[in-house]
Amino acid sequence: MIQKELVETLRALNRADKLHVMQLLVSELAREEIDLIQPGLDYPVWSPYAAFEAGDAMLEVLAAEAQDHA
Amino acid sequence: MRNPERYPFIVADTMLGEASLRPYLPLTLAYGDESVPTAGLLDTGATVNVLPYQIGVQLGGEWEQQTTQLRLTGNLAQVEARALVVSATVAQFEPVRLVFAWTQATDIPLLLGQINFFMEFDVCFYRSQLVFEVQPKEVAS
Repeated sequence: MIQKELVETLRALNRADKLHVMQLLVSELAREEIDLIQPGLDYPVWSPYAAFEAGDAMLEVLAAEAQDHA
Repeated sequence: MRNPERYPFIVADTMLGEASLRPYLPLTLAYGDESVPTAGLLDTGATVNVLPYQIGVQLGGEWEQQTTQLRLTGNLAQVEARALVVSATVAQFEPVRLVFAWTQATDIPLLLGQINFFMEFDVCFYRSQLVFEVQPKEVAS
């Protein structure tokens, strides 16, 4: 939550200082984005991409189940 | 032809805001006499549907009775998985049979993948508007 005093302080700044604050915040946000993924660390990817063998087996199970219910 | 159901993208992490928006679809799974309302991540890159272990247990699934063992890929390759067929209901649409790779992993979202969620439902993503639409596939007459 942005403090009311902070907003008032920012509003009271002159144009140059407002631009400076804006640039500072944009730089901070860009840095935080980069920091989300750290070099040298592993990040899990749970999505079973290209699990074709499993997919084929599952379709067989589904077909067998459909036959049982037919 | 039925009208599609429209859903918003959900913020998965309030600290990350827009970077964490995900298309989670509310649905109800049923197996035997049990049913579990839950939400699945629409994962077009996933070859198969994936059911986290604890949801399978809540549905009354018995691990030892599922005899089709599956070999998954990515991080899920480290964990044992077995095929489980359940009934799934989305919104007011008719229930469909979905086959899941029921994994022993617990710290994952329920994944809705190509086999067979996207074989049963047509989905349209409007990421710029932060919504997606879902409707059952059209059955040729």
